[in-house]
Amino acid sequence: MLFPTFEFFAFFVVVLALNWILKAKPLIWRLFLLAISYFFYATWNSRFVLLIFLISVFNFFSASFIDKAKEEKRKKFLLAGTIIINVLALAFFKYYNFFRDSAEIILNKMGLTNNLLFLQIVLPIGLSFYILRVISYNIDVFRQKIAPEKSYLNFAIYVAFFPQLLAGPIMRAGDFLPQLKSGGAKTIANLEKNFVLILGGLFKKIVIAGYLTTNIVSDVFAVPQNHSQLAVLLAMYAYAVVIYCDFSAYSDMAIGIAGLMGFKSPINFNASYSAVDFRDFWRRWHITFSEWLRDYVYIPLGGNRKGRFRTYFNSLITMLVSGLWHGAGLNYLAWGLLHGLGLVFSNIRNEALQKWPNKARRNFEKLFSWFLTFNFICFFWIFFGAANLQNAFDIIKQLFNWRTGIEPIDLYVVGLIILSFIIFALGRKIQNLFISLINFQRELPPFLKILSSFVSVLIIALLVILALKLGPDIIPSFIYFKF
Amino acid sequence: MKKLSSPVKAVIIMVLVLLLVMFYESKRIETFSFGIENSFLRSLALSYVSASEKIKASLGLMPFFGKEETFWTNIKQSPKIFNYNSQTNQIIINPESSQLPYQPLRVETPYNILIVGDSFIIEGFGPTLEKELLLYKETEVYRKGVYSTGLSRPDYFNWEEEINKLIVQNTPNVAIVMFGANDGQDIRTLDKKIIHYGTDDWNTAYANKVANFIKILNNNKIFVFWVGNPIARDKYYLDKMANLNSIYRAECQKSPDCLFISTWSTLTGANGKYSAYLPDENGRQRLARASDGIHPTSFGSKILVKEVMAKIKEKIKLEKL
Repeated sequence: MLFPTFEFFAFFVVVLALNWILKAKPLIWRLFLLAISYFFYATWNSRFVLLIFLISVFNFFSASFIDKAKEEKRKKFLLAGTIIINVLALAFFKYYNFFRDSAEIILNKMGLTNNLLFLQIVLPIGLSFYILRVISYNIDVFRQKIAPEKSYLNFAIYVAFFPQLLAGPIMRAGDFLPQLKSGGAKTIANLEKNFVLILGGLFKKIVIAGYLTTNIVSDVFAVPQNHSQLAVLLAMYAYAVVIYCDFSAYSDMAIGIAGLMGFKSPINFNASYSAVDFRDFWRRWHITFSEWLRDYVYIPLGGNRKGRFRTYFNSLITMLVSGLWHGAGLNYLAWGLLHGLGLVFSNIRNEALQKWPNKARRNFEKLFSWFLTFNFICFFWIFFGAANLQNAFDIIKQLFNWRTGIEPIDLYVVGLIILSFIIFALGRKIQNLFISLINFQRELPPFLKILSSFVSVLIIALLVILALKLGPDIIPSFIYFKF
Repeated sequence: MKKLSSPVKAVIIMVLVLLLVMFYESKRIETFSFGIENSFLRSLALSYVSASEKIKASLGLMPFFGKEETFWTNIKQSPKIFNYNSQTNQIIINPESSQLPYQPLRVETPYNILIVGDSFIIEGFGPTLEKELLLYKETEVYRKGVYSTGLSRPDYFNWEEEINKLIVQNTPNVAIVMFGANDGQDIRTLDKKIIHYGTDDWNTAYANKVANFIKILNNNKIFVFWVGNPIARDKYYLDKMANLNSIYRAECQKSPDCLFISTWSTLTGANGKYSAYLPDENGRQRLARASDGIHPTSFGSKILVKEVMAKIKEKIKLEKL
């Protein structure tokens, strides 16, 4: 069940009503939350529910054992075992065939047998996200940042909470469980904002990402050699728009949906393309994931506490982990490596800037740095959007091929790319504009007050219809579902 | 009047928005409803659709909704930059308007190849075929695929109209066509007639659609390679694909300028049955089919393309770059 579908919205209307009716009875309410989360997951594949159940049970008890262990050494041993088992579960589903194929090639070259077991493995959607949630939970228990959850039911809801199950935001147990245990909010904070988040997500996903994917990105990325240099250049920027719209749309909708159910979620994107360097970018892009990497990979590696070169090395390793997490492909590793180098460069730049007192020159440098960062990030997305490393090189080769001639280009594609970057930069302002547009508390004479909400309903309905009319007939799946 | 709490308000807003959108978009909901497996929910959705249509008709809104659809279709047609093909004045010859005695085509270089079809053409097979064709001299390739489409539902996506546009834009002399994965369903004609799948009427109507499609291409001097569907895993699709392939083959054989390329057994295992894994040139088992049991993986696509290219080369002369 995809978020921007009638199917989901019909499901959600029922869930929303029951959520608020059942809140009066906390146990039934929590059982309901778990049941609908598992139901939602089962609509993708009923076998996935068994996996999430097993992972929940395992991590619930492992955290409890870590907490109860008296010796530090034993605690560390249990934590390491837990992390390894979780990573192995992820690796099996996500990387088995990649490593099997690679091992076979090596064995073949060595003249050894190639009868490695082949399995038809389906990657359970959302696995990469809930594995990160359970790992962070265990580490936080180990670090005594949180106490282990006593109720299995609460913990299972934390792992499977349906708005965030498939593609985040990656919420920490310390943020989610207190909300759940206190029965969630008793009222919806900022109703308009939640609706705007859902509507904005619809527009970003259906209209912008849908249009650009269908009209330029998928064709050019699939066979770049059959397209002009200009088309490839546009496809590169279009993909930067698509990936932002696609992923931030999912996050916004997840936050809005959870918000309507009375849960507060952390933000996941913040005008990412306004970043002035790579460090700034990772503070604005997939924020819950980059904070996860910072807290559970970068800092344990030593962070910036062990000297300059070790800091650079740690940044590189962290971004390689990020690349590998996204997928079992050399193109993702290359993407991670390039971002790692970007972070190293950002660190060098920041160190240099501290010695640069002239404010005017610093402002100019900031603008120049933004320009470079933005273009490099768009360029690096090629590795992310390509089917494999060879495909990425084909795209880049065509990007620098000056003899490709011209081909007809959709004017709307060019316009939408430019418009999208303007919208991204203005993000908050546009959100506030729409919040005031669908304001449910308009100042109206008392006899017209009843009409106020209906006007808001009409505006929301019209915006949904507009999104459906402007989008393609078939809504492509979210890019991040494959991770 | 007592003020509503925000949760009650949220639920009421969601219900009203859903009902309003479903009312306005009743046509879209109807298409969507046919895919609902649960019969109770399906009939509930269809009842709402029919009630919406009645209300629209009684309010005299039908002409508005007719025009509205055209309005949105037009508004989404983007003007082109560098549209060097806009000067082309090729006249589309529709099947009915062709009066002259038929002369078989001579397909000569340069080959301007148009690849059209459904999801097979968008992902996997289509791009792989396009890449392969570009490795030959004097070939230009234009590929157009539309998800979830076929010839059964012109009310949803009208391929006859689309192919006419594509002929004008790209002036092809060769077309590679692949449909079928979405066509095993009731035919809905533009005048809202429904012809149920599995009946003789359906087979006749679908065969006419295929014949018409081939004729549009042939009458515009375009040679057609019609690619059949490979074997499917589930019986539900397997039977449908087999039936559709037999129609494609029969209709293609009626034209001297159409060649049917069977791929049914291209992706079968050693036992002649469906197999998700197939050996590569080194004997290594590799995943050839996607998890839906219909689409090929990139490896499966390569096998399909090899087969299709071999058949194309039998008909037209291709020289490597």
